[in-house]
Amino acid sequence: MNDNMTILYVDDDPDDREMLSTVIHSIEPAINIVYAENGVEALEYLNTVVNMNNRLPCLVIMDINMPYLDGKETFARIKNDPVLEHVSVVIYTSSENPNDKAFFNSLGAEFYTKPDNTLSLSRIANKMIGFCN
Amino acid sequence: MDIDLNMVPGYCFACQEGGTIVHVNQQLSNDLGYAQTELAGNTLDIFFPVSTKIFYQTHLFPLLKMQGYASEIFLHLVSKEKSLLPVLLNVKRQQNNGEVVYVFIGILVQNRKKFEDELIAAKKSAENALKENTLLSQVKQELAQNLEQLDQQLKLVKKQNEELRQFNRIVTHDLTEPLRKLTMLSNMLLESMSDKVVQQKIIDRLLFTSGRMRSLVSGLQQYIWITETPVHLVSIDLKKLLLVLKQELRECFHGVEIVIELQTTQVLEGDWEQIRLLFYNLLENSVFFRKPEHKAEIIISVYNVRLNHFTSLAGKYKFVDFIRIDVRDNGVGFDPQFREQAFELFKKFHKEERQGIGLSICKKIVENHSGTISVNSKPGIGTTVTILLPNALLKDPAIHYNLQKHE
Amino acid sequence: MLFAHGFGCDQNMWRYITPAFEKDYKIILFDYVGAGQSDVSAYNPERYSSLEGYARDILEICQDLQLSDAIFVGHSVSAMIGLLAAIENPGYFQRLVMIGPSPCYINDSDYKGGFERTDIESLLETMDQNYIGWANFLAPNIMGHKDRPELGAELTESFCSTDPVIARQFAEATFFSDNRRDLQNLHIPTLILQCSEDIIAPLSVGEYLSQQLPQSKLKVMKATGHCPHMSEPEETISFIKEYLSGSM
Repeated sequence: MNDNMTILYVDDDPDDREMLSTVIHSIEPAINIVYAENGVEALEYLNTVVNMNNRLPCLVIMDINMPYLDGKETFARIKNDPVLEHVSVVIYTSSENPNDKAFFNSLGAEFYTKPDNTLSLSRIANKMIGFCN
Repeated sequence: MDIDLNMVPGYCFACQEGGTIVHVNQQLSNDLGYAQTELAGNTLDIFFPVSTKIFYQTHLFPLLKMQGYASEIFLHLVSKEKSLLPVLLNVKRQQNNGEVVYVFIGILVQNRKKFEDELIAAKKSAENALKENTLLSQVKQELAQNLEQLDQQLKLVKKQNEELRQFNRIVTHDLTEPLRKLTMLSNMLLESMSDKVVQQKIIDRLLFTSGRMRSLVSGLQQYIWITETPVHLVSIDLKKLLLVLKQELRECFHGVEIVIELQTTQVLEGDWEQIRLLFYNLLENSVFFRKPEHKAEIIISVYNVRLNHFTSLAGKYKFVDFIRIDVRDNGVGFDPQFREQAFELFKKFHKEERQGIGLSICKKIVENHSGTISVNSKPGIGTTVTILLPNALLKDPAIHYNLQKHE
Repeated sequence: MLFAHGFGCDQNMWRYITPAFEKDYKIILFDYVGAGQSDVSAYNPERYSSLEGYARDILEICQDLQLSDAIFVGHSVSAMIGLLAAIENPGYFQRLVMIGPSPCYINDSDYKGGFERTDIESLLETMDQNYIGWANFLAPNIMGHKDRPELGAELTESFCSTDPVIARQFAEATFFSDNRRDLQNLHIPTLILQCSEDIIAPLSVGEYLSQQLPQSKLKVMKATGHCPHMSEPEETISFIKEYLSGSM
């Protein structure tokens, strides 16, 4: 499933979506990025993919603070779904709360804090792309 | 030796399904002061006083219909001279030549009634003595007051915890987010000194982001102002208020057709400034989230209901007057499973670039008036906001001690 | 279809009516707390000292069963109880059928409820006399029957398995209630079945109701007395069917 070059990026903030996708594409233009604005849309997309027997994304980038369904709840639902549980999910959030970091690490998910400079942004983008190689 | 019913030292009478008398024995007709022939053909009502008529229609008739019999029923009969006869009856439904008939048998319990009256009086007086026991009633009163206070305090604590949680979220996320972005954008600006087009874009985003922070902070300020200002209660003419607000909305939303209908005979009491802001926010929301290409139609109904005064203590009931306000619009609506989130500070539901503070201010204002607010919605149909305000605002300030009043 | 019983018995009072509707509707029958097979220990005298407490029973049933667009049929006091429930949450009901309803039983300066206050007080005295065997002497009201379980079995013999103390409170809450100002807040189509010569809900009250209740239809029945669903079930069924079919 990981040879599909599609990333699902779940974030309600348009600025972050633009910044991260620009950097990802500048490193790896072949990657296709699909966006969801909250957990509900993310799960709808994933279930549609499953129903059409298409390949799941190589990576899901998940923000935590979103309206309707937040990142924690969406992450839990993905991991509890027998069809979706093997999808790679990383957390990309403005939260600097060490409890959040520990929580997701203990569940086996990488945790990236949204940076405030372009160098860190490139580093994070590179690590994310690594899930799709 | 045959004994006939007319010799029996007691009462016997019978009637048909509809209550038409078919037989009355001599003892009964004598005591009632009628001739036996006078009674036949009439219904039981003729010798039932009002209290018995009510009792018969509400309790005895259904009982007989269901069970076919009843025993030891006490009631009064009334004589031709309007004196009351206390009787104790057994009743049974019988078939008589293919017809249904109810047969009553009983005795006059004049003396027994005196005894029972004494028993009931004694019981009541013992109950009253217990109730009136001064020490006990003092304690009861204090307990009642404490329960009221406890309920209020539980409500307050719940509210404050909730507010704290929301403020924490705002500080750790909603304020730090734009700050991070400002830093990022500034860094990006430094890196793009040569490209004027990119620079302009970045500067635009910088200004936009700092503007967002500004309005977020001012929204917070408004929220805090509402929290700190004491409520000054006056009578509010809703019709007038809505006319004023409609005009303001028209100026704000050019070209949009807005229809506001008020259904009420109720007078509202509240703080003028805050109630005005409350309705403005609700109406503005409704107009903003109208269905595209449709006019915004909002119906506001205000009426009196009675609800349990106690909200936080299970098993305690006291039904008091509330004023219920429903603001119903025909807008785009939203998924109702998230209706609790609607009142959180700065939670946004829709993709519009709209600061999500309006409804949380509404909630604060309603809480200042000791009320509650809730919302329900059907996507594609519309949204209804329901506000409940206790009516006893001016009458019993002790109950609403967290309401600060001007003198 | 949700059927709410009135005084003097329990859900069995509908047994002549429900078979006619079983084919077309899901029938829901219940006993109020204190009647029939309900759990008497759930009785809360504060809650049930007013009709709003009984209305909560209905709302709780509707919520548990997730009803929507149900048809509510209420007899006597249950008509007003249903009204209160429907005002609070109109989404549960599409139609109300009221049998022998009255919003206020006591005469007023320009309203004829049918009774004076003294009549109601004599009624309550009569009911007191009927419960004397059950009353817990020299003890505060409502100790409940947990202490005397043998009473439970005997109740079925005397009062159709209605707890007599609760029945008396129910009567008191009902006959002193006044729901006239709630009438205009009901926005659900309603059928009012008015009996001829019903002293509990006289014709003048039925007419008052039909004027005050928006979207109501008043039908005067040939049936007399207060319980047409028991004394004239055919006529009752036929009126309800006609109303529900929309041809009224």
